[in-house]
Amino acid sequence: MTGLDILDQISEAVVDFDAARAERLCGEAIAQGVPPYEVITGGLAKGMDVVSRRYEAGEYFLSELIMAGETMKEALRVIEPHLPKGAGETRGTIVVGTVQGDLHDIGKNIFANLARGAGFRVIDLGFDVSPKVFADEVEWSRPDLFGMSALLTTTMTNMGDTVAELERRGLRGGVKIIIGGASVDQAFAKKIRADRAVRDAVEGVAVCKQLMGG
Amino acid sequence: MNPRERVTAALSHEEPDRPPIDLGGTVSGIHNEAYTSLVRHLGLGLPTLIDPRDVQQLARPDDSVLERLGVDFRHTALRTVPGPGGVGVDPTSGRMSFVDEWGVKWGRNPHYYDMIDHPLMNAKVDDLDNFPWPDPCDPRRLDRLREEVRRVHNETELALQADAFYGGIYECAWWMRGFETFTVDMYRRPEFTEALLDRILDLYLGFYDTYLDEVGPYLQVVDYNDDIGMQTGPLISPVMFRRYLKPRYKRIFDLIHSKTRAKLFLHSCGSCYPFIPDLIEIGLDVLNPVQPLAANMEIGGLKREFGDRLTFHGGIDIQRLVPYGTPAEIESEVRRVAKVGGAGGGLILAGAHNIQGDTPPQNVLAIYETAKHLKRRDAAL
Repeated sequence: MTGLDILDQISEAVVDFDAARAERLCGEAIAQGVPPYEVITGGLAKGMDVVSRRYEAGEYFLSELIMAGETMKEALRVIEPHLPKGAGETRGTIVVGTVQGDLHDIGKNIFANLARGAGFRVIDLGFDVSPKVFADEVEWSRPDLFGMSALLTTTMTNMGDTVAELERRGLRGGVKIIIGGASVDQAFAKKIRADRAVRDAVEGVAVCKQLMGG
Repeated sequence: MNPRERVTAALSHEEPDRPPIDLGGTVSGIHNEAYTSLVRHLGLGLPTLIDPRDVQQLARPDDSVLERLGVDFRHTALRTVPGPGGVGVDPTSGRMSFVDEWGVKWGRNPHYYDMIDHPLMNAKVDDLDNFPWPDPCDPRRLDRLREEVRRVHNETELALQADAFYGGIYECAWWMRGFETFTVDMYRRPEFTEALLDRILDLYLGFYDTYLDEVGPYLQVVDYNDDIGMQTGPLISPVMFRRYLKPRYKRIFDLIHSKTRAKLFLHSCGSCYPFIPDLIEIGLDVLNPVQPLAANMEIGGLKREFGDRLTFHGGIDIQRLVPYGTPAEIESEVRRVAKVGGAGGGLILAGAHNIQGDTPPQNVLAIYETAKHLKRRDAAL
């Protein structure tokens, strides 16, 4: 079996939500000497691209996006111990969380899984995260990207407070900010001085890739 | 026409003098903060009645307010039975919290409650036997229910709508299990999924049995609520819908139709467009809330495609227009929805979900003042 074959098969396993097969094939690829980062980008991420395209085309639904994300998460567990320590060979680092007062984290969780599968290093702060906690993490981890999510119109204002906190602490310039959630749009992103608003997890990952230069 | 005749005509696809109007219940109600502002704006010295454990924190509007707004319905509901443990402070989050009778834990936020724990998160099939399930026959569910309904039926000319209880079978399953876990269950643990849904289905059949025995003859509309959509499309794939939910919905719909002549109303947030033909096939009469900003849910398209078979309930956007628009914009949209959706009956005007807390009272009034003064020609044009 060649390296190319096995990566294609990994991609197929993601598309089929077959976690057991994806895990087994990732293990085999690494044993064959395929570099771990290539297993992610050439295998898992390729599969996720197919799933994302089908989702955008209306052929796959949220439940399938979650399943593909779960499949990737499980396969990544096999690969992670083999990855070089530190950020090194990743597409970039993203800090994510749901804003203060908001417990709605389903979209954010899907995004985090997809972003990991796309080769990003993701630091997930969970939900109900205060502006201070976000800013502390950005200061410590110095991520390339920072993503916030809010479902409610009553909590989306906390996104603005978080951006203001980053500005106050001189951290805003070093990070691109994307926001997501049912209530946000580009006009709101502009108003709070975030870089982009995204409609869903799939668009979120595409925008992150774009912001990192492709 | 009196309100009941107006509603009956609209539901029978005959054009009433104007489209009926709804405000109330659990999916076309008003948040207590918006209601308090409205009552104050109207200069009425009325208190805002609210169930402190209502997770949506909706007001129970006073009859005099509903009359003033021209609302054609009154709502009734199976009583909620308190869960174990009462009310307390959740030690992890520090929020005021309570556990409902299905074991789901809810934590208070400034405007609503959020789910903060799911009792079956780690359960296996065998655990379902030992779970303390609710009792559909608990007599507390019927406390003064028949009197309330008979009073509206005998002493007024208003239409009566029986609200749904809790979420639907899909929501109930994931509320007990956690959303992501139940989604994975559907693909990887079909045996568990079927067992859990069957448990819930049996209880729901019991609930509707108890409920409709008591109030069935007095109703114009019976609700079943299950959110199967989100803003951009369905939450669940059509394959999973047809495998797990559709056959069980049919059991519920058949039971409801066998116990009352009232029309069957389904509430699903967001876009459930791909499922609409399936829902009609198994006996749906009324679709709510026709959320205009959700994918493929604009009333014009739905009316053209399904208007001969479905009545639409809702239709006025409460996500952007009603909280943030001007009264003039709202008036114009109410007229448009009435015209597009009301021709030949088959439309009940209401917010496309509960009116949210930050909605100005002038905007709430703009919906109802416009709707109650509509004439038949506004719809027929």
